[in-house]
Amino acid sequence: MPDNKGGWHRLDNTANLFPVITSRRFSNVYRIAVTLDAAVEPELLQRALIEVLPEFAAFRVRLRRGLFWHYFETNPNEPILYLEDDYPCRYIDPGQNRHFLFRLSYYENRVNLEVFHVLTDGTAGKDFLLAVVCRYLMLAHPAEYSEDDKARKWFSGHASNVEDGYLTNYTPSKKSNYRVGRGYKIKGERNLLGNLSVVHVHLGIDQLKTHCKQRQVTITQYLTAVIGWAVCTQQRKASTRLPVNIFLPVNLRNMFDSGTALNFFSNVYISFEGDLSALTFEEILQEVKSQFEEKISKEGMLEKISYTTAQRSNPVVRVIPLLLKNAVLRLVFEMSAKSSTLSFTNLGPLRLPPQFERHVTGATLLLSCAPKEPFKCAAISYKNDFTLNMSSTLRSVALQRAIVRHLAEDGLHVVVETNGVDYASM
Amino acid sequence: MGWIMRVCNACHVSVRTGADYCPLCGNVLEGGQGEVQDEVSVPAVNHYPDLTSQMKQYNFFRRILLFITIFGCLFSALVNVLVTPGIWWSLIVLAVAIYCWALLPALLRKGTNYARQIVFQVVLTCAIVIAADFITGYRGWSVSYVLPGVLSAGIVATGLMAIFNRTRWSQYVFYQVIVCVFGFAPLVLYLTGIAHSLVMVLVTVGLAMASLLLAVIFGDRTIKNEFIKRFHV
Repeated sequence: MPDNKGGWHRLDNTANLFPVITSRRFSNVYRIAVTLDAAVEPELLQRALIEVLPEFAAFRVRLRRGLFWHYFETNPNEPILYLEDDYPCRYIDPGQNRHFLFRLSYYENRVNLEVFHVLTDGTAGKDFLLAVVCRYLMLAHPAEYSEDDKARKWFSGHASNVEDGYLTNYTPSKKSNYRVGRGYKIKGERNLLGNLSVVHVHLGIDQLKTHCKQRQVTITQYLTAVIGWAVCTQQRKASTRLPVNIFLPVNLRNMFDSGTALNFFSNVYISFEGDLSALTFEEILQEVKSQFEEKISKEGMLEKISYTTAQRSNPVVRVIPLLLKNAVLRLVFEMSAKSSTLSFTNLGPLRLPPQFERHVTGATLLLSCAPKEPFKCAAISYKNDFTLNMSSTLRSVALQRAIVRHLAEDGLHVVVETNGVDYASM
Repeated sequence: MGWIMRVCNACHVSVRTGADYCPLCGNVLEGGQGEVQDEVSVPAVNHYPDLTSQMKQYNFFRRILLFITIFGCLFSALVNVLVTPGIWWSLIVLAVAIYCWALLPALLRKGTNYARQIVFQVVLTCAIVIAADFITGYRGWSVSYVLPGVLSAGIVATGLMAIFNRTRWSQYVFYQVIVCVFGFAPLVLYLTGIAHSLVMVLVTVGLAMASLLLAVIFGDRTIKNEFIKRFHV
């Protein structure tokens, strides 16, 4: 079932969870944004969005309820382009958004794509944003692009592939239950109405790569160690025995050679246990590295997705009415959410063909926070600019400060930007 | 861009927020215009709209309603306990209050499916009426008369929506069928001896059968497709 025959397709195995847990306070929205070399022209961007959307089956949908499952149905409406006038990663109310589950907005030079995670993950979201941006650039600078460029459908190679990667890749025989113990929860006074405070940390990718290479770790391993170290030393009291668990999504597309435009990721927890004050940062880093190597493997991921997918395809589970299923899913989620202290994801480099690259100056990625997870980090890189983007609903910026100062102490050149909800605004 | 890069000497970072203070520690930033010498070239600044003036919005009207509801419930409970300790009529007040609050957001929300709202209302009303019957000493009027009545109203309402809005019928038909299936409940109750009014059973089941038949006979491929989608396992 690779494309949406008959104008509808099923939710992927992970997506089933999102409609159940999502609310105004817990939006499950992520934002990928790119900055351009000139101010955005809204009419052209709107046109680009309308032209590109039909190619992206996973985005051109509305969410509906069936008797047994939710499903996506092709949404015939025209999407709205917004001028950014609210905090990032707000809840997307389908009723106010012509039933679309993503939101494209702009502000000065920046184009933001906000996606409700039920649609798809960041890897496929990135393609959609880049497709819209490329089309926009061709409309804005028609003289610069050849007819070949204009005829080509950029970044939409996998756009109509709405196959459930979990279902096609799991092996029913491999099942084992994964239980991670309770994790430490970050505490502190929250911002009013859950407004997101954003800190963008820009690092030079060459310098960062050299720095990590000297320590024989990857960039993700290094940043995970810095974040974990900061939470342990800045937030967690010495008396607390709970480990700091960093929830790390793992993209499965390359691992399983899948080109799906739906969610296809699993996750691992990187844990910081016990008293860290006796350890140096280098020792913590090596511990993180060994956890990465031990936990992220194709076999491990296969076992993990097999466990959840087997439950989803169980015939008894399938005929339970949606209402009951949702109640059970909610319980399961509340239990599993106890493990996670914070999430960190590295989407990797954003690459554009050279004729488009010259008009795009930067990229950022933001995650929305959860009621019990008030601090999250996301990284993305574009050309020589690596950004670590911290979103938080906490009033205090102590954690962000600790992370930034650690990076600076390690000799990295750090440039900081915020959305204005920071120390200065308090 | 006219933006200046300044340095926080406590955090040892460059700051590009346009503010005079470090966003992380509040220190006064050093450096000024023209001193932008960076190894990291970050050409475009991420500006954000200024939302600090956005006041916390709360709904005054909603608070008044909330006040009236809670006060009404508490006061009726007080009167109930002191004046008529035998009959728990204040529970009915409470149930109606909860019903109204469940109804309100559904009515105010834009873009909702009205057929779905009808099913929701039918189920909620039936539950409250049966509860009221039990609270006032069970006499069976709820299951014999009100339940079939409410179900009939739901069947007629969804049926009319289907007839008068043929173009959007496929969006309603799922709920039309669900309410018809519920319409057979009075028959079951009558046969098991719980409900007693034969007339009400005949009316409700008759309407349910008619509405179902309409869907089967007049439904085209879109209706069939709708069922494949809604009932996929």
